[in-house]
Amino acid sequence: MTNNPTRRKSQPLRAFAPLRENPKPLTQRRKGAKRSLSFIFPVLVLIALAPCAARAQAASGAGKVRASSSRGGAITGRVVGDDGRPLADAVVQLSKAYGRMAGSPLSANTDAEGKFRVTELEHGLYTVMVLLPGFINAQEARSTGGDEATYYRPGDNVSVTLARGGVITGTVRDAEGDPVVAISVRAIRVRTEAGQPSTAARFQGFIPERMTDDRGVYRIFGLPAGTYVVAAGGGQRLYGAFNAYQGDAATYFPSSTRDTANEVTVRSGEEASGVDIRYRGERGRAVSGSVTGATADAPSYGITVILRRPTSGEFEGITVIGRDNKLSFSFGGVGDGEYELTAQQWRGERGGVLSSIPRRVTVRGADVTGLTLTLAPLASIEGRVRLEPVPADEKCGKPAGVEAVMETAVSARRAEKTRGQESPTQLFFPIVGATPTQQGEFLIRNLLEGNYRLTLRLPAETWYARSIALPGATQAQPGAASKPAATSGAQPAGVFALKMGQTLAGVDIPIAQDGAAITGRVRAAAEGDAPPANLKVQLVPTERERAEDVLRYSEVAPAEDGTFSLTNLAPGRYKLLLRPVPETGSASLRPLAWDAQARAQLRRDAEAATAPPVELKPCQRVTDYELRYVPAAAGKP
Amino acid sequence: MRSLARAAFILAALVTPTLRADAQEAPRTQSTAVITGRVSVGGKGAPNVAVALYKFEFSPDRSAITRGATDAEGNYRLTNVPAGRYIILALAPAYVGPSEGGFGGTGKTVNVAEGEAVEKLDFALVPGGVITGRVREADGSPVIGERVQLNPVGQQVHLRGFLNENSFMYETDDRGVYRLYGIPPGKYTVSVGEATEEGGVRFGVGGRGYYSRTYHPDTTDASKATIIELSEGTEVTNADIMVGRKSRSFMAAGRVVDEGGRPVPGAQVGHGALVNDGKDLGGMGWGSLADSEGRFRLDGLLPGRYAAFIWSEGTSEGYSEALKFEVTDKDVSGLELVLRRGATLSGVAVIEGTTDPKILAQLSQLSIAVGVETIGLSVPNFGTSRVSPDGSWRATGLRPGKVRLYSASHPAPLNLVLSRVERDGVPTQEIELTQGANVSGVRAIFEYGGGSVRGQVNIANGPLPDGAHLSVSAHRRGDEAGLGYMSHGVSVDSRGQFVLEGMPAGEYELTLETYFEYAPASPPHMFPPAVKQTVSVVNGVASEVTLTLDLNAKRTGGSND
Repeated sequence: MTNNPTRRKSQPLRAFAPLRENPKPLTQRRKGAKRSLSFIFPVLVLIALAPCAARAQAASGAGKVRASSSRGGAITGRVVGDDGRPLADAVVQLSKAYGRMAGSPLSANTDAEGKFRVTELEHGLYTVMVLLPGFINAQEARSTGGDEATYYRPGDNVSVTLARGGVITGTVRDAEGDPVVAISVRAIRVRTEAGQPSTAARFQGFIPERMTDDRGVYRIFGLPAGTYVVAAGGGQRLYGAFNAYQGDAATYFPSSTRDTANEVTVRSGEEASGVDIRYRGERGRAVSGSVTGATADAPSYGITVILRRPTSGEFEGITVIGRDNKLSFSFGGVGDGEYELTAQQWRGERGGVLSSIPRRVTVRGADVTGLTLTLAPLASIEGRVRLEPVPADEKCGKPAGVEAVMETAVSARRAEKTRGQESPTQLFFPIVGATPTQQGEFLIRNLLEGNYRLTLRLPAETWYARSIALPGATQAQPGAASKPAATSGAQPAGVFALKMGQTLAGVDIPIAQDGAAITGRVRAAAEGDAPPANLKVQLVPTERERAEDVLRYSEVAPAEDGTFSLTNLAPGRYKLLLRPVPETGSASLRPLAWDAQARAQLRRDAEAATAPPVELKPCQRVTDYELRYVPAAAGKP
Repeated sequence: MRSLARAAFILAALVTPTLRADAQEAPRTQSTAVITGRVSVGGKGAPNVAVALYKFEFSPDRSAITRGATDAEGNYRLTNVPAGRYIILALAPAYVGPSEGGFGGTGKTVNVAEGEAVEKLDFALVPGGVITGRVREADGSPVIGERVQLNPVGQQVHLRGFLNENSFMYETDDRGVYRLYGIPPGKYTVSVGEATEEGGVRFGVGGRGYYSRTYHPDTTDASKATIIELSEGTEVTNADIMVGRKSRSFMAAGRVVDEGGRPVPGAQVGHGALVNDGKDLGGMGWGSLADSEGRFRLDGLLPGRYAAFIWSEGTSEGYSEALKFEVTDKDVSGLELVLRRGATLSGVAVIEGTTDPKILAQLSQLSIAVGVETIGLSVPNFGTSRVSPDGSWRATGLRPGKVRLYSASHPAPLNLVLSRVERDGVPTQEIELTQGANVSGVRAIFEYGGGSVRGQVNIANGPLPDGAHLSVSAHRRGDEAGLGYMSHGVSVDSRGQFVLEGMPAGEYELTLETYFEYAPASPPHMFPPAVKQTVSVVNGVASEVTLTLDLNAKRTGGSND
């Protein structure tokens, strides 16, 4: 009986090192239990997060940064319920952005007023996660799951609103009507409350899960509002093994396969009951194969093989192999569908990750066998963020110190319009990036091969990147995208091509503090009309020489009241346009201007637009800019 | 308990989680075995119960080798079973039955020989009981996501490990409701919250607040807890618990510096609670990573005494001593952990006892661990090194003290056993390392083991008490403790059989011992004395042996605890 108060450590950070053993308590060994055969089951420790804790990423509201002493200071904040009342005893966890994969996050509890304070933080960017069982972050409930985390800096005051999560409950029975006991039941959100397609939560693959009791009853709580499908059994899971249902395909509510599953709508704080499942108990298919290219240097870490649904990010199977020198894997209980299969091996803090290129697997009524996954070292990008001196100007704020560099985040995003991942490590962390050292050096590791752009999170609105380039890289001409270049990194300006195992070094990112901003409001063409919801404000440079400089383009979705704010802009001449947001998927996360054709179209539309261009001077802040929504133009693709 | 033995244990836990024997199965064509038996509840055959066979190994992969279900009469039959060591489980989570092998299910261990017909592997189950209730604060608000403890009272109650089957049932839901099922008949108390006197290190969601351990109905005094009597298949409702206010937990902060006082960024700082009058470390945690200025903080500490230290993980060049501190009613700051330069031990590894080039080629698959003796309150410290193709190895970051070598290869390739260590040609078991020393010329001799022992255990004056298990370990005459083969032992299966494989030739002393899977409530007098027997092992031969365990035999000398 392992019913002691020592809990599983709930650290997504560890998810990568599935086979590193947690140190065992020294006192565990005792006479009479001489050979404690209890499993050390690190994988479970690593991936099974405390399932009932609300995993809530803090709401936005970051941004205001003051230069301060060498030590960054405190991040403070307040946690309230959606009724505005303070929530006490919530656990607030701060983690360093792109932090290393060990160690506990810094944490604090909220007091009776819902306030918290974490002091003596070193400079840098932090994510804030608030945990209160049964509650979820109101912002997260609206998120589609693919957004980048919000980062905070020492000095920030964070405001988080938690809402009571929803509940799905029901009974699982077999064909005879007998209760199905101790079967895992999962709620998979397919759409947000607003009807947006939803991928798995930030910690991808994390799916709210419970098991049925002796009466077959399950109750999944703390759910963000939205539309769900509910599955009993199926797949290969890291816990709940040794059950009678292993190898069965999942049965979806009410008694269906995934394709024909009924949907269940959950509202915040409400209960969807009677979600009863008639369990089919049908054998699932197998997906099997072998892994090559594993390193023998750190065999104890093992190789994690993951089979997941690419759209939802849900794990259909996860297994750890390679500890017995057998490099074969096999998943049972796989239902029909499209999957993505990846193997990866973590080689310790310094060794990085070996990975296979994620491959698509289609299961349709038969086993899929003989798959080969080849592990290879991943690519990385190295470079330096440096401060570009600017003339002293009060409007730009106080001159910055090293903290400006340390509070910048550099992340790598696929340049192409693929749905694909940037990195297999995204199985656990959605965005790949780095924060620079005090010297400004950054290293983004664990990238899959492909073409990348780097994006920045800057310390304040007045900052912008002058350029992001390799030394000597030339500005590519429009249409020359696929031309091979002398340096492997030279692609269209700002696009870096990476091969597996490659390290691209020397990327230079000068940042300057004399940036400008425009705020304003989107108005309907006629009084009383409301502009459609799915619009983005596009900022287009009008100077000819900047036509291909993607860094000079910017876009933002207006708030519900139509207001918008475009910040971190280079001085120059621009026009503002309204464009519809691409329909779905990760395309909506990729700026429109990254696509050469869309960029050309933006330029043409900007030229055609009758409104005069906006001239932005260094450090200037244009306010109350009025942008009229004209249906004919905006509706055009 | 000897410190070295303990170090070895930690080492085994850290680096050799795969059972040696598993590595020895070579895929080859063989005739398969059949396993049959019956699952009954209250003497009546239980239909439609899933029965599954798993390899007996420490692996996260829990895929069944084969599985089936009982027929209308409760009979099951598993076919196509290759020879091997297995655990067979009757998967009926709401029922209670035998539990062997530490797998946490209703299971039995079984060693299956090639082509064998294993019969009458029966499972007699009883319906488990249910305890359900609600956990609330004084104002009636539900306590959500808190773990409920089920505490057996009095005599040994054989509790099955539920973890693998329903790890969720111990947690309260959004209404504060919990429901524990499949519980063996007996007397219990239920509680939630932290027992501060245990000096626990609290993991979990990093909370800074905690409930003091509170028993049903509303007492923090264990002796005043209401005892719940649970008979077969009954349900006890309203086992509610009312908790008091949350107490605050604390933080300890400090810095990691090198011997020159300069900050060391990125060190992994661990911590453990001091137990046993401050002489030992218990319940260790990973703690935190030192930041760019060497600062670290340990969070979620309950009042109590602790020690912080640097985890060297066998790869770093340094180590630290354990730094004691006490948490009373406020945060602790100003801790300073010094990363000291460790000693280095190096040498070569060789394989003896075979000329087979295939086996000799396994040299570079071996790993050597160097464990440092723990004296008083010192942090477990070991270095590991993979053996290079030329046989050389090197372990760094070792604390001064007596060290021993262990085989850290996992799985152990073929049947290679670390049997001897020589320093400058002289056999040795311990090597003394001084601060920062660099000791070379240590020879690790691995021996090929081609022999095996197949044994049968007979119980006199039996049967074994419920929950008791048998284990056989082997020690070769002349081997130093810890170096030789199978010092950890193998378990005896439900038919009284055991197999020891991969043994280098020699005279072995076998030791048969009884243990209980769940020790806390088992009184020492229930342990029969160990049985010892000598057996000769020859390469390429399976030696047969019969051991008799007399349950009426009295222990002589020494205590059992």
